[in-house]
Amino acid sequence: MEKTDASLLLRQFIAMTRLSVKRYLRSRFFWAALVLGILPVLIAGVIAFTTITASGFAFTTPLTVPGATVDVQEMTQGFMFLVQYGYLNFCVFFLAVFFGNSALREESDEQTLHYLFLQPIPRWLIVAGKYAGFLLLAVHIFLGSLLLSQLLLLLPFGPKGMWEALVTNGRVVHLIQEGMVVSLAIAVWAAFFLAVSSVFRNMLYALFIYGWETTSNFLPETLRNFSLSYYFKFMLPERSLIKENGALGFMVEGPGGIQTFIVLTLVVCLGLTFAGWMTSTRECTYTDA
Amino acid sequence: MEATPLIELREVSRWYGEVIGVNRITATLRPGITGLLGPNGAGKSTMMNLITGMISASDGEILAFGEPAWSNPRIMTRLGYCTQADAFYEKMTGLEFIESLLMLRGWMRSKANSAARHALQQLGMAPNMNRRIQSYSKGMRQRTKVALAISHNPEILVLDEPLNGLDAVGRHEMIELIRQWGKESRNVIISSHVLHEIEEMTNNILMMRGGYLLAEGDVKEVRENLREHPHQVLIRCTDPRGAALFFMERETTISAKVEELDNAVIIETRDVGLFYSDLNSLVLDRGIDVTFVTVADENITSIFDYLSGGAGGKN
Repeated sequence: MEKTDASLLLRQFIAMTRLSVKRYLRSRFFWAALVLGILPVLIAGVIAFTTITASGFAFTTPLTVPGATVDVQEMTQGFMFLVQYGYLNFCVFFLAVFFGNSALREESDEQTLHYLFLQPIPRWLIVAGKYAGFLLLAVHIFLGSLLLSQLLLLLPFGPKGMWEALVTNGRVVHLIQEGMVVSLAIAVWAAFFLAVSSVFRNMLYALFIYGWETTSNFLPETLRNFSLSYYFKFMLPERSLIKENGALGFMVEGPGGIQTFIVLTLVVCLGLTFAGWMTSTRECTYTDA
Repeated sequence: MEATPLIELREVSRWYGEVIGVNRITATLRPGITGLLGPNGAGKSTMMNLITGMISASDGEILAFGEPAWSNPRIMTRLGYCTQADAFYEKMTGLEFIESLLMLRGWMRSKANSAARHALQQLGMAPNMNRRIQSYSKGMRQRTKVALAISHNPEILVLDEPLNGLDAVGRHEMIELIRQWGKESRNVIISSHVLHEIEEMTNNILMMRGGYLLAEGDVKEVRENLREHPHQVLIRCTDPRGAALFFMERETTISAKVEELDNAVIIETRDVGLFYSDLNSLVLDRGIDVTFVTVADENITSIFDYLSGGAGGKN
C-alpha cells in the first residue's frame, strides 16, 4: 500500500479550494452570500440614516433626537443586537443551509460531479476543499459586512464620536472578537449542514432547526446545551440586553469555555467526517444506462 | 505469454431498482482498442461507469489494474474517462477548465497548463481554448471532453460515444486519432451503436444488448454472422415495378414489395454491398431514375435483435 504523500494532499486541497472559490464566485451561491451579507448593512444603514436626519445632521456625541438622547453605548447595544439576532441567528444560519444543500448537489444537478470523482483525489478531500472555499468567501463577505454595519451605526456621531467609540472605548477590540465569533459560527454551521444535507435533500428540515435555535433561548439550560446559538452567543464580548437579576435572568446563564470548545469542535469534526464518508460512497448516476 | 488484463469483470450485475443495467457479465479487457457495441439502453454506459468506479456493482467484482474499481481514486491516475454527459463549468474557458481539473491531481499550474494546451491542440481546439465553454458548439464541447480525458496521458482511455455531436470531418479526425492512439500502444475502450465506426478503429469488440453480453471477439466473426441477416432497402424511383423485376433477377434478393402510392419498392437482400452495385446498374443500364434510397431497417437494434434471437442473447 502506498504511503500517503502529505505534500500531494496539501496541493490537492489547495487546488480544490481554489476551484471551489472560482465556482462559487460564478454561481448562485455568491449572490446568496452577498444578499445575506448586505442585509444587516442595509438595516444598519436605515438606522443610521434615520438617526442622522432625526438629529438634524448634528454628528455629535450624544445625539438629541425627538423624544430621546442617543449615545454611543446605546448604539453599540443596537449593534450587538444586530450581531446576535441578525448575523448569528439568521444570515449565517441560512447561508450555511444554502451551502450545505448546494455544495455537491449543485455539481450533481449540473452533471459536473463526475469531473471531480474522476480525479485521483480522495473524495473526503473534495468535501474539505468545498468547505474551505466556502469559508474563505463567506468569512470575507461577512467580516466586511460586520465592519460596514458597525461603522454605519457609529456614523451619526461624526468622526470624533466614531474615534471615541472605536479607539478610546476599545470598541475595535470587541469588534474583532465579534468578527471571530461570526467566522466560527460560519465554520460550525457549514459543517453541520454539510452533514445534514448529505442525508436530507429537502431544505425544510432547516426551518425546524431554525425554530429550535430561536426558541431554545427560552428553555432551561439543559436543553439549551443542544443549541449551537447558545454557544456562539456566550462567546460574544458584550452579550445580552437582558439583565441577569431580572425575570429572564436565566437566559443569561452560559456554558463554560471548555464545554463550548468541545461541542463546537465535535460538531465540525463529526460534520465534516460524516459528509466525507457519505461522499465516498456516493455514485454518479446521471448518465444514461 | 498472455497480456495482463487491464480490466476484469467477474459476474458483474448492476440493477437500477427493477431495471437491469448489466447482468452477470464476465469479461476481460485486454491491451489495445476494444469496441463496446450496442444499441441505446444496452448497458454500455453502465459498463463504463462500473469500470471507472463511478457506480458500484450490485453483484460481482470489477478490477482495474488489479484493484477494485469502485470509488478508487488510485486508478484515476492511470485511467481517463470521457462520459456522454454534455456538461461543463460553462463560464470557464476550455483551457481553464482542463487546467483546473488537472491541478486536482496535485500538479503545479505550469505543468497542468502545458498538458491542457497539448491535449486541446491534439483535438484541434487550439484556436478556441481561450473562449468560454458556453460559446462552444457541440463538436467543440465533445472535443474538450476528450481532451480532458487524454490530458494526463492515461494508460486506459474510456470513451463513451466520443463521436456524438461531431460532423463528418470531425468524426473522421477523431477516428484517426483513436487509431493513432492504438498504434502508440495506448489502451482504448470505446463505445458506439454504429458498427462500421467501431470497425474502422478496431477488430476487437464486445457486443451488448439489454444488459447482457452477446458476443466478444473479432469483428470479422460478427460480420460473418451479419451476412446471414437480410437487409431491407427502400427505393423511390420512376419505375418501381421495373426496379422490382430487375432485383428479383438477382440471387441475393429475397423479396421485392412494390408500394405504388409511394412510387417505391422495398427490396429484401442478403448482401447489401452487392445490392448497391446493382443499384448503379439499375440507373445506368435500365435507365430507371432513382430519387431516394434508404435502408429500411438500418439500425443496430435490428442487427442485435437478429443476433440475440430475441431476449436473452444468442451466445
